[in-house]
Amino acid sequence: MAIYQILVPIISLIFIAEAFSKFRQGKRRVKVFLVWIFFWVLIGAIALFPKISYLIAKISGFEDNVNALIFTGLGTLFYLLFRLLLYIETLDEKINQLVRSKALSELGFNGPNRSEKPKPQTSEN
Amino acid sequence: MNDRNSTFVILPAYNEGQIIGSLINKIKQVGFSHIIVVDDGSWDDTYLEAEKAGALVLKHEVNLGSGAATRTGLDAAKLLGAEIAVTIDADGQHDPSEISQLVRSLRVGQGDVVFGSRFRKENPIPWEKKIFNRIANLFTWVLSGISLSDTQTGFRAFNRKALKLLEIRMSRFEFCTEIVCEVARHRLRLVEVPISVQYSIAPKLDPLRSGYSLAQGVKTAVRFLVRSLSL
Repeated sequence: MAIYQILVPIISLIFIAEAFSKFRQGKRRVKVFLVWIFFWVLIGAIALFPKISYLIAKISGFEDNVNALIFTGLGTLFYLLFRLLLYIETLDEKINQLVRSKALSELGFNGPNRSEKPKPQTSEN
Repeated sequence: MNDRNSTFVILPAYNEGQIIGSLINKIKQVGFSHIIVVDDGSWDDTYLEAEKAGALVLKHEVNLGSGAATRTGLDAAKLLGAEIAVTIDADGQHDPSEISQLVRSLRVGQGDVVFGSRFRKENPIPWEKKIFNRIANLFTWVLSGISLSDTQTGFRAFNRKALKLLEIRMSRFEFCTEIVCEVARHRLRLVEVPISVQYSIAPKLDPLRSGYSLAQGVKTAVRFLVRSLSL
């Protein structure tokens, strides 16, 4: 057994335990927790059973198992990055809405039922 | 109803404390008294100077970008019953006496939206702005099908129909392209009129006016595409 086949599963178990702990404390959401667990279980499994990488190569159509792992890993990273960008844009829009609502509230409208319009506060020529 | 009584002039402003007061006075001198200044998180005295000059001033607590400031201004004009809303840059590059030209084009029914074009007149425009605008015009044409000489102008006018229909969701320079896409989506009529422009000798480097570098242009295009997918 190679040394990485001992070290990598141990590191994976540490991260899995940490993820469980954070999840139980309510510091991590279910989706993120599951993705994290899946990732570290896969890393640990590939370290213990390298033939899994040949299975990934066969499924993905790559001839070489190393290429299969690299391209699958890269593809997953780009997908996650894109999802992150979309999430940031959504947050940005929410901040925008908050700041703009507060600015518009200076016009004196009372909440969603804006039936009464105030007079514009400009001086007339 | 008198044109000018139902026309609101909107100035999205960021750190324009030195010039905003005199600009508001010039706008009043040409007969437009309903002026809305949207202070987009300025750290100078833009808010105080605009208020002193007699404008209705709305304040963003943090800087959101010219698109967001324009949105706030147009929303305010809608709520206050505007028949026409005109947006104009707060850095003094546009001539307030040309507001009437844009308003007239709407009144005679030439269009629902009017863009003041810097490129339909002989104006001293830096070469980098010309290049950036050409690229932005091409990008906008690909997305909207509308060919314009100046998609990035800050001098625009909207009639009531356009104010009701247009939905701007983007916050920074990408909103310029979004407006044109919205015009296409709602089949509104858009016309361009020639306007003058005068750039300051030392342009400020701030988010509202740094969009003309090529790197910013690429960033703007990417942001437009990402936001289109997320919103």
